[in-house]
Amino acid sequence: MNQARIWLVVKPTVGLPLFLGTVLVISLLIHGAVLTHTTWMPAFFQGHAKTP
Amino acid sequence: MADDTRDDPNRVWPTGLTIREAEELHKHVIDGARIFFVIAVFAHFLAYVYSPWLH
Amino acid sequence: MNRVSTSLMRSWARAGTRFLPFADAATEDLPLARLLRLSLFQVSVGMALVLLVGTLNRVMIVELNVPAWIVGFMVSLPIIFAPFRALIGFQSDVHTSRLGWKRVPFIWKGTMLQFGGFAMMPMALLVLSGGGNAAQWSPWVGWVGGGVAFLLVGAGMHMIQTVGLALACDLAAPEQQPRVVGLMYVMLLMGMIVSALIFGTLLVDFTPALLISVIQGAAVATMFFNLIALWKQEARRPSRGGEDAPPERAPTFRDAWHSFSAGEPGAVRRLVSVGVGTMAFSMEDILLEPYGGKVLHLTVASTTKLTATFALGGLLGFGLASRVLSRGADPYGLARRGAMMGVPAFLLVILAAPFDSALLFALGTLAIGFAAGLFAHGTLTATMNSAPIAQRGLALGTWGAVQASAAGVAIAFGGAMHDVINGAVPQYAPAFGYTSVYSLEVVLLVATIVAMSPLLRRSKAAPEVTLSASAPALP
Repeated sequence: MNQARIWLVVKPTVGLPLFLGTVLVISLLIHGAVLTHTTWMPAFFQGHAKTP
Repeated sequence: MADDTRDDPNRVWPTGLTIREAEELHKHVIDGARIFFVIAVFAHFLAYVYSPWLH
Repeated sequence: MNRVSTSLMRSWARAGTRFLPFADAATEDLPLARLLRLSLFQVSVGMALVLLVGTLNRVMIVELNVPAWIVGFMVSLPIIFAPFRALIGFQSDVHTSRLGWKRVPFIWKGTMLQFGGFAMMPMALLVLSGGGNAAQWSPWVGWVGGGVAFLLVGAGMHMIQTVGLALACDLAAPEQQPRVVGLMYVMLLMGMIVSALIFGTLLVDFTPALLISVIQGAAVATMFFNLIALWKQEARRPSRGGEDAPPERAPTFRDAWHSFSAGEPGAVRRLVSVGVGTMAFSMEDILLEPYGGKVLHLTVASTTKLTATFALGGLLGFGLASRVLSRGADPYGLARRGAMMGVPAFLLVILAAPFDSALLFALGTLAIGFAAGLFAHGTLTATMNSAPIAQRGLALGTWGAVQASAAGVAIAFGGAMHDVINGAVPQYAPAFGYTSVYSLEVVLLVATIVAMSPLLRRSKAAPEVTLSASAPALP
């Protein structure tokens, strides 16, 4: 593993929440953007999807 | 922390892990990211199939 | 924030000593707050079980119109992983880690799998139902997607539970183990009951978007519970093997299995009786409610109460078993008594049909739950007690493998047997199909009692507390 030695400099208790938290925040932002910039996704979440 | 870990020549500060420990930790991080990535790709494919997204 | 959670935990712990029957599960080494925290992994497993077997089962059939055979197939997929519990447990025993963790990596991986499975499951189910644009695609997409999602959740669930129990066993001193087992069972049951209620209320006005929210909410809850459960529980033992020493050759599964089955007399016999006994106690699982509805003409509301009665019986059984076993009773003896109580309990349920008595049925259901609780607790405690320290994961894994496979096979077999018999002799339907399954369970119980007798004699040296004094009188 190439970058393993990062954990010699960054404490895992700080670095891991930071890393995973960033992933979480970015994904929430992107999904939020999709939610506000399309018409079908808000409609879907209002329950307008056709059930089979 | 006990003194014997502080004096251990294999430990690297500031975090006090050894190189092998850091490597094992990193292996878990990378493996987790891979599993997560594969599952996310699969889920997005299913969402693509179901929804009008990109159609 | 931190202070709030600490004081919350404290008040939990204080409330615990007052209201839980497991107050003295904790000692100085393993305080109750920490033990309750650890048992949260059982809550996440219970939640997953309820979603797979209960909630999604219904949602797929009723709301999503998925054909019943596909639903049955998907729901039974996680059973495939049950036998691998032995392997997982074994691997966690011999896992060499520079970080000095044996159990944490496995519980973490299990959590990842369960999380991932739940994260993609709602999309997979919607595609499976052919809604949205999915109808333009081959049905294979839905089948594969649903299959993968169910497999991931199943694998994660088995992994978390097996290794989690091994961790609990590692942390608890031998004399604490009966209470720890009781607590683990109670938390599993509580997780199942509470999440069944929550999912039921949330999904009343079903929409596809709601399904996504609920199931992905379950995914986040899995992560949340297991992180809290795992936080700073297992002590690191980094010295294992030394820093630069090559990892010692780990024993293979075959070696470990040979020394396991040869090391303790009766290991195989114990597993066989666990299997037969579990089959005896789980064959009626999906048949009790329709029996109440079709044969005794109970309403839906009262058959649901029946499930609660069954769970209550289980809780009483776990509580009593914890008390009796921590006073030093023989766990095999207790499990055998559980099987013995099961016989009259099933007879009550059978007799409810000719007497057309809902009361007999309710009593029988309560007694089945109680007896099953005693049996499960007794066998798990016996497994923990007799497991050599280096093979705890393997011992608990084989126990779980046998138990989960037996339960899965028995539930499927019970349903099939009922259908076949009612189809073959329609003039006696509907009662005969049910009662013949219950009768078979009585036979299996007798077989379990016989199979367990030698185990009992072997451990007669331990002082035995008589159960009859403290057991509620059974009819």
